[in-house]
Amino acid sequence: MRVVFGFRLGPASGLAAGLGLLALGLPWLELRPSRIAPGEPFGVWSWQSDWPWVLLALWLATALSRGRWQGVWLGATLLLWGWLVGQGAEALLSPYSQSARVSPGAGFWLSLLGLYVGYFAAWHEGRGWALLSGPLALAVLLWWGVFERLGPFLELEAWREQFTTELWRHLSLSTSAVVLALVLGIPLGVLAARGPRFSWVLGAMGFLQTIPSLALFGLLLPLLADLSQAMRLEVALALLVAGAAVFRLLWAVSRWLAVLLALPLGLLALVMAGVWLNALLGPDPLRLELRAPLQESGIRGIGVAPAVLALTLYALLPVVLNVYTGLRGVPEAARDAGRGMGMSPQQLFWRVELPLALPLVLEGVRGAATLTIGITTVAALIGAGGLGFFILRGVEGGAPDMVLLGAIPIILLALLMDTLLRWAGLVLRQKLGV
Amino acid sequence: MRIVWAFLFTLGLALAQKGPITVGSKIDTEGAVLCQMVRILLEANGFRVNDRCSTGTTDVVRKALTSGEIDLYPEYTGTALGVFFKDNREAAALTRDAARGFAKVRELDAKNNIVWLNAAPANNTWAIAVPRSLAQQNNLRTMADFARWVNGGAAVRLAASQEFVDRDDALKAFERVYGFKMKPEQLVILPGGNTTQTQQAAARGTGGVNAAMAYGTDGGIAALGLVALTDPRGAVAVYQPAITVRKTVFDRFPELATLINPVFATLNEATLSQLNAEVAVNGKNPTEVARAYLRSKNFIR
Amino acid sequence: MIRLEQVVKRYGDFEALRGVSLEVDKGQVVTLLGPSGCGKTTLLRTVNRLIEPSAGTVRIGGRDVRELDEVELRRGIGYVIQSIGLFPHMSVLENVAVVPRLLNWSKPQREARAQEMLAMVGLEPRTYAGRYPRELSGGQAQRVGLARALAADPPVLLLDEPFGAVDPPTREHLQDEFMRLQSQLKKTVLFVTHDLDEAVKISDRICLMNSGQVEQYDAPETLLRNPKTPFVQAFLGPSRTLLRLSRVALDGLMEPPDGHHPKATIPHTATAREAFSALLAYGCRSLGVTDEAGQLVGLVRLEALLAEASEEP
Repeated sequence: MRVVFGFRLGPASGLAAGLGLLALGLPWLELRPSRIAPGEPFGVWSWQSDWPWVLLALWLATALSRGRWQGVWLGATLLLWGWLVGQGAEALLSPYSQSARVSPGAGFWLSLLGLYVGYFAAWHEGRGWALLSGPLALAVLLWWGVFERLGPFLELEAWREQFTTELWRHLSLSTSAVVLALVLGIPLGVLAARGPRFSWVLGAMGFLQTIPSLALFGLLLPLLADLSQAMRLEVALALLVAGAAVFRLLWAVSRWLAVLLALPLGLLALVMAGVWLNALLGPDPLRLELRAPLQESGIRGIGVAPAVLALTLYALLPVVLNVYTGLRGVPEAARDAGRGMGMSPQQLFWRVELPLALPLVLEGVRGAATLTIGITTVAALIGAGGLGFFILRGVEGGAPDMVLLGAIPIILLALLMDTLLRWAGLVLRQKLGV
Repeated sequence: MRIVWAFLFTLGLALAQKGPITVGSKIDTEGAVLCQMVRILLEANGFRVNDRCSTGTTDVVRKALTSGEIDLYPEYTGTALGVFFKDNREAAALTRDAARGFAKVRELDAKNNIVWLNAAPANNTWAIAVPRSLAQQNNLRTMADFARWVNGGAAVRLAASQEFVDRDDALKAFERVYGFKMKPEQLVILPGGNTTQTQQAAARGTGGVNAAMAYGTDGGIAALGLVALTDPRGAVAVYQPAITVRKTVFDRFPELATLINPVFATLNEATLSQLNAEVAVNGKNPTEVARAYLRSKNFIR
Repeated sequence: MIRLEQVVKRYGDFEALRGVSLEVDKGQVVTLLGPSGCGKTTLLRTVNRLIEPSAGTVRIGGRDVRELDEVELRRGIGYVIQSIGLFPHMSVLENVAVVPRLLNWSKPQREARAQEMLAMVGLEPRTYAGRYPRELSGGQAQRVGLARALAADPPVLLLDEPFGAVDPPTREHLQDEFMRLQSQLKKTVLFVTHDLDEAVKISDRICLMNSGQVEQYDAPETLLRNPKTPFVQAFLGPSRTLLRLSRVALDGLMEPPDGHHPKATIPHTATAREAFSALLAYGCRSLGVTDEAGQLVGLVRLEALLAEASEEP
């Protein structure tokens, strides 16, 4: 905390204002004659001569204020910045044809970053109310429609229906993967926590994480392709049922053999469950055909099947690790007392160990969810759809606005998921008294 | 127990449906436009269509077709001859012959249980594009002019894909037919066959690039201030787009041919370029562009 | 009530228990006393089968504990440990009601019983029932632990250094509470501690252990008067006589008043040790004994105390 002209200046507030002021000197918008042509940068001073000074003053005000007042100044800054962006887009585009585009530039992003840091400072020093000005200002800006003439927005206008579909696909893929990761990962974590004999479980999960996603796809695709063309649906189902029975018998005899059997069958079950769960949750229809190879029922060497399998495997580590850590963190005294009082192992698990481990498990879900939303981007590469589609098409077509159309929602989704689950974790911790 | 019931219920529901037709395409602009065209056409004629346009790269789309993830997609005769059947000597010899090449492709892919509908009369083949100002300065209109300019010691840098440089019926064919040779330091290799990137490089002059690999029906050439040099001697392979369908689907719905062939017959180079430009340059949705086109030609109401 | 027959426990080559035999009568408080590592906690945990003996038998009410399912066995035995082990995610009420819940009592029954138990250990139910373990002091938490152990009214209680984790004044209070409860409830109790004073204060009999074996098993007075082995003597220490006197009431040592006005008085509820201490402090040879009203009811002489303290047979 330093004192400047009698006002106290916190490091975060100072950083925020610094970013905002720097942004004023950088180009805010790029004008292109068409969405694939190179663009010409423009700073805010080129379309407004007076208002930027007001913005500068507002940034200083946000730096030197605290708590609720800081929230107010930040809201005003956000409003003015948004209005200036809208003005800029109008001014730059008006002499040009329909195909001209205006894209966000470095100054645009830096201003947003400054606002983000500023709100962080306000929340940290003040209370939650400081944050209220943010959503309010954003709502006003959206109602004014200031962003509507920016490139990514225009891309959205043109691709609205497909955007909705791909967003839906992205969410259903991520959700299916996380659900399956939980179904598989929680028991694995419980197993790992049983004792040092099972530490290989964690090692295996860690290894999975290190395989690069594209490489994993490359390995899975031909395998799945052959399998899905050769095996019929009813055969696969019968195999899984029989396999489950054999596994039980084998577990008592030789653990290693049982695991060896469980691995391929488990992966097959995972793929099938993933594809069907995704079909139930997502926009594409569920198709099941008996007496036909698996590929007629949606499990193929390309598309959803390998995507959901890879996504689930990647999401496993955060889940397993957190279940393991959570269970290990249960106080030994509570365990001893529980056993001594006459709780069976199951009762001890469900009534004592799991509730106490729950906050960490939720952390694991948070980690898995945000991770998966990001990696699902790659699913579009192998024909599974999702928001990565826009990124790919944007890169393919040389249109950066379209890339943004894909990237921004992914970032926002991940942030939203992270915030929601963090909040849920806090609430849970309070209720559990941990 | 409840999970089992839920599963059986869903199973029952799914088995009661009749499979719709899934259309796909490559991830480029032209693929998207052709795919949407087929989709809108089929839907207007009573089919239930599952839209998987812009499925992925050539490998991914082809695999999607053979595995049944999609039922049809637009492919190029040249790609089939040059990539899918490249080990077949007869195929390799026919890449520059439009009619016989197409017949060969039909014959060879029938063995893969894939049916090729009629090809459109557009040759979306390789070309070299240069900035308009450069073309005006050096009087470049055809590949012969290009050869002259290169041989005259011009500071040329061509941005192209590895495939364009390696294949016998691409750059090498140009060089053979028009009598010039590009030196390795005059080439800038960009991965993949993305002509928008090569053209953007030439437009911006990135890394000294002043010539770009292009396809005959690219929509962005004019918008980027480039001009494509013509190939009057027909040096390179022929790339005609046609719809490829899984045989099982075609046998079930033979009317696919009667619906799609007339539409494809109207698609020449100029038309395709125009449609591509609407999407790539003007940012319109391929669906809208396709629909407008079909309406304008009275294929749909 | 509890009988341990030649119980042996081996961990590899190390023998934690070397053939311990012990009998605890119904309604008695028996303390397992000894230095760290003598096996007292191990022995305790064989009773509720948290540890399975390598050899020997443990019987409760005549039945071998191995006959019963271990989980069911434990629900009939109250268990309190030093670190208490309250469940942090449950309220105090829910903690106390754990075993009744395991026994499938109905909710109203459980809650009523839990509140009753809290009152019994001196915690006002209205204040404490809704609190969480993290909001309790050490002493309060240990009372809750005790209440929890007593909730299902088990005939047997196992306590493993339950008052070890609190400060001395709180410990004294808890010991007094425990003795009050025991006089009311008359449970059969096995109590583990390394604190001689505590053992002498609360037990009916003390089992002094060393290296997995029983050195001496007697009532506190007997143990303190007649230590059988050098280890016991060393363990009891040089002040054992005074300790013994702390358990002797004045009634048996009192004489009727002789008309003289004594220099000092003590209440009739005091122990012989306190009388001895007072005699030393006032430097006199006799003390007056008063009743609740302060009236002189008797006299206690130094000679009587010395006679009591003597270990001469």
